[in-house]
Order: sequence, then structure tokens, then C-alpha cells
Amino acid sequence: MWIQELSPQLSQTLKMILLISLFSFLYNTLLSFSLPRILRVIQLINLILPITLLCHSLEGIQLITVLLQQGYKTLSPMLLDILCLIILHINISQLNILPFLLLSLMCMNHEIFRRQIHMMNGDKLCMMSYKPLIKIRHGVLFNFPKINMLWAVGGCIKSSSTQMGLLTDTRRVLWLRAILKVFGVDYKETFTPVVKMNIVRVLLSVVVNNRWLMC
Amino acid sequence: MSSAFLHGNLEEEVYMKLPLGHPQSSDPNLVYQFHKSIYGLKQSPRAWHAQLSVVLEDSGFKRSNADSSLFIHLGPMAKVMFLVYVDDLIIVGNDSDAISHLKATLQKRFPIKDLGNLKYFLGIEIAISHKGLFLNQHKYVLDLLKDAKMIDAKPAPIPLDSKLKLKTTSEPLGSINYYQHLVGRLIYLTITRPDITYAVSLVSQFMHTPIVFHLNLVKRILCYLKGSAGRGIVMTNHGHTQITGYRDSDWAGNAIDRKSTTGFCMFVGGNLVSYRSKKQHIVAHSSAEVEYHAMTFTTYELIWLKGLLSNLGFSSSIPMTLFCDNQATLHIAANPVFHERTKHIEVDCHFIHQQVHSQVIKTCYICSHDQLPDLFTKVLTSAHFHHLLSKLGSINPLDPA
Repeated sequence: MWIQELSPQLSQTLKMILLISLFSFLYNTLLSFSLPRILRVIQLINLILPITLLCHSLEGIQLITVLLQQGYKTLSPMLLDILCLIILHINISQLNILPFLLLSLMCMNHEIFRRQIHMMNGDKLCMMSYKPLIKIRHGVLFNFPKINMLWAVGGCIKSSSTQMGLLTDTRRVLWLRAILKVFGVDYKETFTPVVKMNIVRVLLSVVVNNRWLMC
Repeated sequence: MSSAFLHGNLEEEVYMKLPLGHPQSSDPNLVYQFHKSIYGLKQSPRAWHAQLSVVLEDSGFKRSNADSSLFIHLGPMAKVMFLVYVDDLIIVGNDSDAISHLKATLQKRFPIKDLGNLKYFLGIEIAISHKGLFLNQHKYVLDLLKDAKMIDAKPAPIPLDSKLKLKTTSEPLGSINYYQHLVGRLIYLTITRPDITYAVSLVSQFMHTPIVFHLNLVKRILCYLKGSAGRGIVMTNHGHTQITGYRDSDWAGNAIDRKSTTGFCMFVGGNLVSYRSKKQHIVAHSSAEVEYHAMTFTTYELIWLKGLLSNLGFSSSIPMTLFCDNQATLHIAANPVFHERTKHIEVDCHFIHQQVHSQVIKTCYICSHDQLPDLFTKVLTSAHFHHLLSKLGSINPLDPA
């Protein structure tokens, strides 16, 4: 509440700094808190702060994502709506985070996911096409032409047995890696020693000057 | 070399889910464990390289100190060298028996396709004639122009406008990826194109925040390429393997942060092998300091080249010649006297003194007009540009002259 009182006097920048520090604090202590408590904190934050501001900080986004992944079963309908609003308010410049959230929503439930997509079609974000390209076994493939990305969104988290839970946890880690992928940056890039082009030229020069054979 | 990666041995434990369509794929408890590497694994190229190294070292090759992808076999008579670029291999040597023996050994282990004489390597076309070699990337240039939709562009005589003024403010580019993609391809093109090296080094400084102005610079380079698609480097037989280096730098030429640019080019046996254009890290007070810094930078490369050549069995006691058009640096290099003005580059000074004293390098004066690395440090007029290029050995076989 004190932030609300202070905010008229604070400049926008200061507010942002406060936000970021608040979120980094929350994010770092996330694992040590119990989930319901975090949710309460989040609800409180959401009451205090405009959601648009929440989306302007990377840590805020991370926090939301972690929450989505960890608390999809216990989220209250109100919080879901708030999260939905967050997605609607995501800045265009942060579009590469959008699939991140979409994925998380997808992980939550196919039903909710469809609802979110539907809601977003009514907003400015529908300038991108969200139509699933192909239905793959446990998810769908999405194409985002504006940002040159092809995302597979999926994961089968329907059954909630503990055995499956473990499996999905590892899978979620794998998915998270896939999500950080950006077009043009080959995430499958692998490393092997390759020869310097200078050496190729040196060798060719030596070959020519000594009339060697080459093949 | 076909399906090279499948030959690597894995050190780590890697498991894979059964693929769809496998008779037992419905059982979630079953997985594959890999013994060999597979395409798509992160460690595959490394594993393959390690495997190939083992085979080569077994057959008497030694890994060069200068580069881990170069393997050398120095026999009493036969010299064979082996270059690895992932799954593209080049073998050179003076003894045809040793080469065919090596090929046979490799073919026993891996399914290697022998493509005969070297014609094409990583997009570089290599033409052999009685005079020597001609390296070019003609096809690569044409592909690049086609992808950039510049195939019908009006050719430009030089890669950068001679009245170029760098701008820092203009509209931001819509697609940074596109810019980065184009510049990345241009960087690869500099392998056989010393002529665009300076221009490419200039545009690649703005990779993270390109503006429309920078994209226009790139387009200008593409226009130049359109007019000189077939240009490449010639390598001819001069009958020796002496190293000579040329170095140059401008002074505070970068209008944005007043840093200077180092340019150098090096010849082995009279053929251009190494060239570079690089913005220096420091802001320098005097041109002598800049030139001295460039000299140190070039000397590193010269020493590396010398090491490489002695690795290849061509050690020489003759000092490498380093040409330079700045009298002040020549004097600083020759005289072990320190001034107030050279205090802060004392480490560089000591380094060069040592190299000159131990006859590793020899500094030589060259008049500014014949200064080859001008190409790598400044924008030149068309006539001067082409004069220097022909001296570098960069020619366009389609040029009328």
C-alpha cells in the first residue's frame, strides 16, 4: 500500500527500479515460500500495481511464468483472469516472451489455453496469426510470422499422478530451453574445432610454391 | 565424407525416447541408450572430431600447435598435411604414395568419398592452372545477391562511398535479424575478398543496433559485389615461403568514438594469406601510438604464422619483414629509448624491441602510396583502390584489363 501512496511523487524511473527490485526479491525467494503464500503476495501486488507495469520488467514476466508452471492447479479463477490480462498487455517489444506464456498456459490446461487464444483474438495482438499449423501428438505447432518464429507448444500434463509429475518436470526443463530459441540463433548449434581460414590460405600458398599435390 | 557424425563415440550417457512407429513405442518405460553419437546431439561434432583425431594419430600424424584441426606428418621425405573442417577434409603433400596410403587407411575406418583434386571447399571455388591457384566465391556472391533481391542492382566501383560520413541517428531498423544475417554472410565472404574487408568490419560494428543508414551501407557493398562477383585471390609460385607483413592504421578515424583502425595483410611465399581490419580497443593520443599498437598486433600474427610454417617444416632464420609507413614507429622500434610520450605503451615497446633484437622481425619503411593495408583502414578513391587490389593479388578474371 505504501507504494501506492508514494507513487504520485515518484518519477516513472524510480517506480520501475522499485518494481524490479521487488520482483527480483520475490523471484529469488520464490522457492522458499509455500505456494499459497506466494499467490497471496501476487494477488496483493496485482491489486497495488497496474498490470502493464508488471509486464515491463523481465523479472515480473519470469515470476508469472514460474507461477504458471508451478501453480496451475491451484490458481484461482480471478488470478487466471489477471494473468490473461497480463498477456493482453504485453508490450510488442517483448513479443518473444509471449510464446513463453502461451506455453505455460498450454501446460495448464488445453481448455484454458483455448480461452486465452480466443480472448486475444479480440485484441491488438491478433495482428499475428495464432492459428495452429499442425496438430502434433501432444500439442500444436504455432507460427508467428511477425517475429519469425515457429513454436511448438505442447506437453501432456493431463494426468496428475506423481510419476507423471516427475516426467513432466524434466520435460518442462527441456521445453524451457526450446523457448529461449530465437530465429537466426541456432540453439542446436554445436561446437567442434574447425580450421582457421588463414591456415587454409597458408597451406594453399605452400602447396603452390612447392608444387605439391592436393586433394 | 558421408554421415560423419554417426562415427563418434559418446562419453556421456544419453537416452532417447522410442520414436513413434516403433513397435514398443507405446510403453513409456522403455528408452534407448546411445553408444554412438547421432545427428542432432550437441556432442556429435566433437565426438566425431575426437574419433578422427584418434585414427589420424594412430597413423603417425601429429596435431599442429597452431591449429587443432591441422594434422601433420613429417617423414624423412614425405610430408603430408591434413586439414579438417568438420566433415570436409583436405589432404596436401609432396608424396603421392603417402597420400594414397592415408586415403586407404581412412577408407577402412570411415565411408569417405574421394572427390579427387580440390575444386570446392566450404563454398570456396578453387581453380587450378599451370600458373597457380585461383580462389573465389562466385556462386556464394550470386546466391547472396539473389537472397537480398539485389541481383539487378546497379554495380558500384568501390564498396564504400568515398565521402562516407557515419551517422548514428536515423530510423531504427525493423528487422535486426535480416541485417545480422546479411552481415554474417558478408563476413564469410571476406575469406576470398580482401577488398570488402574494411567495409564489412565497418558494418559489423553495428550488429546489435543497426539503423536504416547501416542497412544502406550493406546495400552499397552488395552493389559493389554485383559489379565484381567473380573476384578472388590468385596464388602463384614464387619459389619460396618467406613471410612479409604490411601494417597500417588510421588515426582516430572512427567519428563516433575516435578509436583507430588497424589493418594488416601478410604474404607467405608472395601470396596473400592473412588480412584483417580491426578497430582498436584503445583511444590513442598520437598517430605514433596508434601505429605502434598496430605494429604489436601485427607482430603477434607474424609470430603465429612463423610458428605455423615451422610446424609445416619450413622454418627459416631470415627475419620476417614488416613494412610500415610511419617513421616515428620505426625509430621507436629501433632505439631502446623511452620518452614521456611512450610511457604508457612501454610493454608494447619492449615486446617489439625484443622481436627486432632477436631478429624475428625486421622493420622496413615503405612509402605511403604503396602501402597495401590502406585498403583495410580507410575509404580510398576508385583508382587507388584497384591499384592496391591488384598488388594484393586480388583479381577479377572477368575484368577487361
